[in-house]
Amino acid sequence: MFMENRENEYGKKNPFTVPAGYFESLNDRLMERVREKRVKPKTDWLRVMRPYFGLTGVFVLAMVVLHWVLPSVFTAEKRGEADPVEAYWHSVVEEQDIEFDEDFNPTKDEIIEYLSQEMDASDFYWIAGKF
Amino acid sequence: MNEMDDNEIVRLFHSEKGEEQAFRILVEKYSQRLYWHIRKIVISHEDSDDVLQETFVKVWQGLKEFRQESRLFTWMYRVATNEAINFLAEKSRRPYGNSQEITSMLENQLESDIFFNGDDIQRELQRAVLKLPEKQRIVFNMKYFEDMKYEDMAEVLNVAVGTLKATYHNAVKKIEESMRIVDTLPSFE
Repeated sequence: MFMENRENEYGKKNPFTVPAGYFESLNDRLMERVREKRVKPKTDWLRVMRPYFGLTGVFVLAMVVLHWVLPSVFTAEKRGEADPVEAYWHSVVEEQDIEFDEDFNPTKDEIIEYLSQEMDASDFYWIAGKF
Repeated sequence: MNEMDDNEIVRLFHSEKGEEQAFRILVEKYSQRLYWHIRKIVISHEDSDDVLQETFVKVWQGLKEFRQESRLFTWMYRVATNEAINFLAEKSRRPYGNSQEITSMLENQLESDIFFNGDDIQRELQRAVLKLPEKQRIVFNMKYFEDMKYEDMAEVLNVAVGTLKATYHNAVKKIEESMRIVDTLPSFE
């Protein structure tokens, strides 16, 4: 009711205005703005910085290698330390590195006797067959 | 020259080297309607100009993917409405706070707007409209000032027609009360 009456009495006249020539120049201004956006796409900082991130990564990796990895390898070598796996095999060889007296000259029977006590049955019979 | 149909404009935009021509036709056809729609939401001319330009930039970018699943006209209205609402939301974060302060800010802009040419009654009506909650305000403006069909509004705002009718009805009631309080208008009943 109110709105119908108001419409009859005052109409729907738009009370707002725009500066002179605003709509006439709008098309050109918008076209210019769109062209700007097209020529200068929004700066993607991640893309711009990517090569620098790459270089920084390589540099950091090089520093890590130079400062931590290489010195520790050289120090270990200086100390005569090998890596754990190598150390393990070295200890096994050392264990087996038995020194014999010059006059130690066991007979075939003595060797078989020794092996029969030290080895399990299947290995022993396989080895025994070689003698 | 006959006004080009929206579908033809979209086809022209998608054609080789047709972008700029199609865009110019689109601006020519819809810039005023979109401007007034935005202006009623953000009030100041400078802000409306910013929002309108941003709207058309978005339209340009969106047209590349536009496949006419919705109508061009309602899609552009939706872009403009979202831009205007986002603009006010951005303003409300700093330095203005809640919706009450946004309303005060818009009222102040209305008072000092050199591009407001209305009489006292029209100013009072605008004040009453500004007091409405944002959604009611947008619905009221679209229906009352822009004469938009409920079906089109439903497409733009993605709201059911029934809800829009109820919203408009409530908005009218509030404006009526507001106008009576200030006693600017005689009773219409």
